[in-house]
Amino acid sequence: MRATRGCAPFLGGECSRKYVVQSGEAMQHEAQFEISFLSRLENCLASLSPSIEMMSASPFVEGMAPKWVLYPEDESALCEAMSVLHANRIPSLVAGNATRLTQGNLLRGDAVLLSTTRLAQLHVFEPEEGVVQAGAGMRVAELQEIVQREGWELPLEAASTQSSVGGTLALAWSGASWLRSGFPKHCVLGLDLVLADGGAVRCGGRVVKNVTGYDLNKLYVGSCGSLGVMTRSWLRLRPKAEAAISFLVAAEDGLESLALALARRPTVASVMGMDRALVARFSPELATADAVLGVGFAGDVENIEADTSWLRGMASIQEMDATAAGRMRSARSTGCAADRVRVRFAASNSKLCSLRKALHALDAEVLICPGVGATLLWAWIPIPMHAASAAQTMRMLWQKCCDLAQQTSAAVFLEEVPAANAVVCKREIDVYGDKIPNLDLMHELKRKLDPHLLLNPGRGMGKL
Amino acid sequence: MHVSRHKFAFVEALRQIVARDCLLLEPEQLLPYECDALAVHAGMPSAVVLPENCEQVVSIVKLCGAWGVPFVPRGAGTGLSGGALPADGAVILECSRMNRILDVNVEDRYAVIEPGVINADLSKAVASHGLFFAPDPSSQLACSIGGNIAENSGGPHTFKYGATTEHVLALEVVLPDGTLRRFGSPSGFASGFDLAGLLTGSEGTLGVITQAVVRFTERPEQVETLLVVFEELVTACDAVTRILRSGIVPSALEIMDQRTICAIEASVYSGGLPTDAGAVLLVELDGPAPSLARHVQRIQVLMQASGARNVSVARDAQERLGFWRARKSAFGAMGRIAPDVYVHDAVVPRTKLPEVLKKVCEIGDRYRLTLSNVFHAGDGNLHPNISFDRRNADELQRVLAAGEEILRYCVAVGGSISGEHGIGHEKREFLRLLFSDRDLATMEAVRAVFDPAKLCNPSKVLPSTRSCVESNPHLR
Repeated sequence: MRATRGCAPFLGGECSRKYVVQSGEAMQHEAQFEISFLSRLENCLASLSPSIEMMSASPFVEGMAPKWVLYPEDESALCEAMSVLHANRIPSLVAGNATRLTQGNLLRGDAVLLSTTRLAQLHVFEPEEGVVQAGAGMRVAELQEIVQREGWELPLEAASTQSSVGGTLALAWSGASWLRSGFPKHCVLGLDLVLADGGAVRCGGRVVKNVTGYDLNKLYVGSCGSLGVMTRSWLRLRPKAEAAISFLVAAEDGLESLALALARRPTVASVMGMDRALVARFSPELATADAVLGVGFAGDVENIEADTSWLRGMASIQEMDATAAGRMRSARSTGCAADRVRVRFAASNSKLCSLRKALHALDAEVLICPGVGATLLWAWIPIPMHAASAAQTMRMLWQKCCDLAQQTSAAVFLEEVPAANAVVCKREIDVYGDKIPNLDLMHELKRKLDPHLLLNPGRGMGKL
Repeated sequence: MHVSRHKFAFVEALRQIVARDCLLLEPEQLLPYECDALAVHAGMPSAVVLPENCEQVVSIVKLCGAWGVPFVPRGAGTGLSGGALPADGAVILECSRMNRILDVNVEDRYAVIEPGVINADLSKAVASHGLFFAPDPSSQLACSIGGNIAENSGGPHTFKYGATTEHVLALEVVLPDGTLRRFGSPSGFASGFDLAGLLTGSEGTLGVITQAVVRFTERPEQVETLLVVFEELVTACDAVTRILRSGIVPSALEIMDQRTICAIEASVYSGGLPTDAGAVLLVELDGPAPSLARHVQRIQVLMQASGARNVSVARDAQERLGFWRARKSAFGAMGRIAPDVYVHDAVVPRTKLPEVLKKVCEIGDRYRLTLSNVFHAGDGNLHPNISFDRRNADELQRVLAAGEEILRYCVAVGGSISGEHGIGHEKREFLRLLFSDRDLATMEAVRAVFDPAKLCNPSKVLPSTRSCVESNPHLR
């Protein structure tokens, strides 16, 4: 690994901001960069670098090898960095704590990686109000711990313990707890962002009810960092459940019926159901059952007792310890084997059964997380990876998935492909689906807020 | 282009689109459309069109686009921010005749509806399935769901169940260029930007809603309603803070002050509220039966410790409905105090309620106005109501000045200028109290994507380029 330290005069004046500029393994891939880009980049970054720290790691994901990683220390520094990058037309790969860098389409062209990791402060926590304002780089897990100590919980689930608030919101990430937590967008009261040209903007506010101007929170949440870089968010908390307990349930009559029935019980906070094939891979000792459900209950003691009593009458259950619960959760986001892709479907509950049958016909391993009215389904679908035909094979498989989504009115998203073939697999497809409606409006919105298409170029839907 | 210049040809073209009785042109027909429920602002539309289907909406919008005629989507006209005010001689596109419930999917918990469906009717339609549509504005017997979506309406039970946006899964919208679009999906998940979320609450400025997929909520197993009586309004506000910290999540926390109570009790909506009380707090709890009795007991203890004069639990559904009928008719009952009532809408951090209400009352007194308060205390959503007579020009000026002062104070303590009524025409200039020029420019940019010609409900939501309200210097 190589790193650079240095100071340089700031364009048009002295720069007082502190940046960490990192270069590392990416240096091995310098050939990927055009010389003109490198030259502009280095001139630009030099102007931003009164203080440079060495870092120990460098991202290299799916062919993306950012030569530089910027870690602005505060919002002003981020504004300044983005302003300079904008002036020099240098694209940025926007990331929080870089836990989901593989999510999205392939990055188009070379880019600086712009990380909000250092914007990790808890700016405001008002236990009397039940609201927080957190920096985008703050870990969701850390924030959750803090608010829980005061009797609150954050209705936001992260992909991993390292996932940041900003990244989770940018991806609108939902997992097994979406049954209780709802959509991530609904806990967002207000956002501070920096737009592509370095201008700071704000939307929403800190109060729990607010209809002032357009609800741009909704536009930014789930926009994958393609419209602006979140720096802070006001989030609404809810009182922590009085009690919580998790059970492992062996379902002998298939997955859907019990999972969907559970999702309608008032204290069931999360349901994660694995079919036999998936259980065999992640928890072989449980593979005797037709399907296995991990069920989390949260709420008042009496109500949990009523619901668990109902469940005992339906299936054989055993209390799940933290290790087992963690292992199940990790199954959801575990990386793909070399011969499988991971696809996420979001389908109405009435379509779930037909969707799962169709996926089994593709020999997929399936995990479901039902909610009210709809279910998130992850499928690990086998794909023979021969380098020569990988792109074509992937294209055909993806077409099947998209057709299946259309037949079942589901939303589809290719979450992960085998790392070794990622570039080949993703090059010819759009991971967000083949028939995304209203792309013209989305492109127009992108052009309004990021006219030079510098933020996450190519990563969004329609290769936006 | 203004309609009047070429009115004949334009009207003829409208007649080709809708039936004769769906086009209103006579002054006496247009008069009811000069304002919505905020009567202090008014303007006469050029025409009112009542489309009966989506195809007609497309044709009307295309026609308006071709003629450069501004148009204003309107629901039931119950809005309280002048959002349906026909500025610039616009054509009003009233959606009340598109009022069919097209599909109810009990398993997937959603309905496909047309925008003119009345809020309360949807819940009635699915009551037998144990479901309901959660957003419940006070006007729910009259207001349309299309309007609720356009305004992102709230209501007393927003505290637990969320505002309208949390219950909208997908929208069918005619954009200002006449194209028909669908945003979102019945599952609530869709690829790309959340344009259904963006359209919700955009106050009819980005398009005309022609269909919506809305989510149902399961009816709670049990409901208990407590009426808590206080000597002082401020004490009632303090009690709300205690409830918020208790970990209990009521479904509603509503406060009415003495003047409101007296107006209600003197009306046909009387609910047996004590007219000698400083304020009453309605606390509603719902959920699974096993734990509800314990929570009711806990709230009773908390309220007594908060200085309540009396705490009573509704004995049966009839008494509970009586409390709610009284609460929801508070605005109507104000008619007993004066010919007009200006219903304000602002939100403050909930712990600031006592301080802000003292200030609101002080402002009312200083401007020599009759001011009463009925509000969603759990959300910090105030509704200072000023009773007045709009024929008295001096009084009207004092009403407007007091309203502005109240809004400025709410913003100063970290609040917002609207919690559920929207910005509409009424508060567009006050948006600058909350947002910087750059923030507003971003909203303008978003609007321009949908409505570059600025024909769709013009002069609403966003401030004019010239304004007497300065931008908040503390924003950046």
